[in-house]
Amino acid sequence: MNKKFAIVIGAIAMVIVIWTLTGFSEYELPYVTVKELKEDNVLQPGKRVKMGGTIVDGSRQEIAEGWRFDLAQDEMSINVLYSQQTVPDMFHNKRVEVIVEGNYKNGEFHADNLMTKCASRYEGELEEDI
Amino acid sequence: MAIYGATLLNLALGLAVLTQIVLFIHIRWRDERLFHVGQRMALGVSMLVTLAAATLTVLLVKSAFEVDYVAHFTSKETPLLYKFAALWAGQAGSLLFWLLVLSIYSAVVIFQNQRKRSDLMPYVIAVLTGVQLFFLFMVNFSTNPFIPVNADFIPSDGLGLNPLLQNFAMALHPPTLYLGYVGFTVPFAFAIAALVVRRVDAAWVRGIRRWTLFAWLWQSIGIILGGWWAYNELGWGGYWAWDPVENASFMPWLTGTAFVHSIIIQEKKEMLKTWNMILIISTFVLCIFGTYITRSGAVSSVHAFTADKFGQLFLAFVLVIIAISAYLVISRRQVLKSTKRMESMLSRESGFLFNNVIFVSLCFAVLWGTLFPLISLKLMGREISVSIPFYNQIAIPIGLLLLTLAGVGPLLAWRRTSKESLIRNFSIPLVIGLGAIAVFFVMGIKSIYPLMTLGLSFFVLGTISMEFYRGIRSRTKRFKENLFTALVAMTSRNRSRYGGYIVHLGIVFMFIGFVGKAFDSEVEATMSRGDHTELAGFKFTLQEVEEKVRPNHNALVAELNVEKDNKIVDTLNPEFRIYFPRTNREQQHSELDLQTGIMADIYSVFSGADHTRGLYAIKIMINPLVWWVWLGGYFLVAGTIIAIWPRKKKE
Repeated sequence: MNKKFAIVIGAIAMVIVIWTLTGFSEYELPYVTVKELKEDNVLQPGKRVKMGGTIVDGSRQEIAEGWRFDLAQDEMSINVLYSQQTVPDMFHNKRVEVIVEGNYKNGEFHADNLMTKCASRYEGELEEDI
Repeated sequence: MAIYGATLLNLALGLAVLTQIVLFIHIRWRDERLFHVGQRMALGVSMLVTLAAATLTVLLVKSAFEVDYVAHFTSKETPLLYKFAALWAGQAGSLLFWLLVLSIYSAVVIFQNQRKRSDLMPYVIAVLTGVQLFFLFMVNFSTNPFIPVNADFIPSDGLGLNPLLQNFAMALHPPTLYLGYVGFTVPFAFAIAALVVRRVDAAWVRGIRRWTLFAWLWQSIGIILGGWWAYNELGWGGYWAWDPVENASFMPWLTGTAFVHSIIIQEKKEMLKTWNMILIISTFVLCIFGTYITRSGAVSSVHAFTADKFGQLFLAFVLVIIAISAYLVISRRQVLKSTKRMESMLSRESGFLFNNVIFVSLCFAVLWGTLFPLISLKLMGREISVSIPFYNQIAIPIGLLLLTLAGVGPLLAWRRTSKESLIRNFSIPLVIGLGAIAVFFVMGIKSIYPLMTLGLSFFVLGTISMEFYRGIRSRTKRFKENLFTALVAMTSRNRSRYGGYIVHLGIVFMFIGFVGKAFDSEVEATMSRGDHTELAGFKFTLQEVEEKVRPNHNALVAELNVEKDNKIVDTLNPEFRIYFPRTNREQQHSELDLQTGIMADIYSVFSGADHTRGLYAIKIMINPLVWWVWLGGYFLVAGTIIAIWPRKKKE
């Protein structure tokens, strides 16, 4: 009985493990850099990707479809079109770091998901009172 | 004053090292007196840590901005409650808080076992102070909460706590989760002790059952509060997003849940000894790992995983735990061998075993998804994360399997289950489940997962109600008790069994709540005063927008009338706030408003404003059945408390 049991249990575990290991190719979201998008052409067009960076202050613009802003990464920046009107609260903060998901089309990043860096790591810089 | 705190932490570290040495000598030369010394020294470590935590609390409450931690997480305007909560708002403070909770637990364990389990206690204390030692090392050398501000001036005001975190549930979420995370240290310490002295029978398991349930309870409450906070504060209308921080708290919960079930088999049948060891060790490792993920900021990207010293120290600690535990389990494999065998596929034991393998596999899937960015970075040179549907496609079917087991398992007999008892126990619930599917199908629910979930939920409700019904009936017949006294007497005579059923009932309610997710709807609109928009048969009119100046923020308060069939059924007041107005740290914050209902929540977010032109962005969502998730939470808590509640000593 114990052997038969081990086989059944092992089989269940195997099925779930194999399913986990193989089941996500369609849900993969590779991280890309602005440089890769603009210069290297590493991705097939339309592939969903993830990208992080800092929003350039003064570039936020509310438009009919949602928001438009520039995302800076090292020395480069890219224009992002975000297709929702509602944004997280921290979106408006100065020098806020965000992560966007979407795809790259004609020199623009079309994002449908935007996350700000976690709130529990909220740290600003201290200032002396004048 | 900060210097006192730092000194207390130094002293605690030193004393913890000495405790280890004294306990080691005691174990080596068996001198009882040294054990008593070690015990008292361990209590001393706990006391020093408590004093250090108290010092930090006083500094926070007194707004001592010369301390970096205080200046970062509080300001003059921070309400008192959140000055307390700032103790666990940042990395350094929360590590000290971890240590504080562990110190309290450790003291309780020492007092509880003063005259008990003297064979295990030296090792238990050694493991507990060993874990304290690690965290003491961290707060002394890596992230010290008492470090002064890194500037040549004392800031006149601090930065303040993020408004998103100024919420009652958020103030409570971290400590509850920590009570759980840290709580698993106690069963882990007993497991290691049992391995060392080679007494791995049912006794050690019986001894830690209540501690395990206690830790599990807080872990569950922490997870639920986190979801509740996300739902009531973040404004995206959901309570779970499979992000790394959530996964970090969910993984030890999964293995912990498996452990809570499988120790029953060891208690009753002396089987699965090795497996239980592996489960509690994994749970503890996942708790440490979870603390790291949550506290390191390696959240949105695991890039930072091993880059900094903080991460390397945690990784080293985890590796040490795994190495020691693995050595102990392997070298004790002879005594861990179970003498009994499984007799049938259809038995209570096998039900538990299936439950275990499924919980652990789900944990593996979540771990894989959480770590995949790191794995892919190492193997393929590119960080690849996985999106939410990956988790859902695995977790939904596995969740349904577990739901089925929650209904079937408790009704299976130990050793083997006869055909007759299967028919007797399951025919009515099966009819109820199938009936529910038919009814919901006719009502218009056509998609497969929601239908299956509802059908299974009713099936499990059926089995649980039948259990209660049978128990009550036998008492009313035998003792002529009325319904209520029978229920109370029955539950209190067999607390773990009926407590367990109530927890299962809670889980069923949660699953009913999860079904609602499939029927969410939302609308976004830019409105002026008097405009209206419609969703799911409701009409929403923006009646008024009022400007309010409050102590630490300015707010625009919307008055949103909700109409159904031309009758006003409710008024919602979502707010659009600006914190730190007219400074360079100005921060927008949407305070959502919702009307909770048994069938659906009406959820409104005031997401943007152009006040001078009178244009306001409003988002409205209808979220069905969310209420059931919270209801399930209450049942889970109540059931676990019943299962933990101590029996009166027999006279």
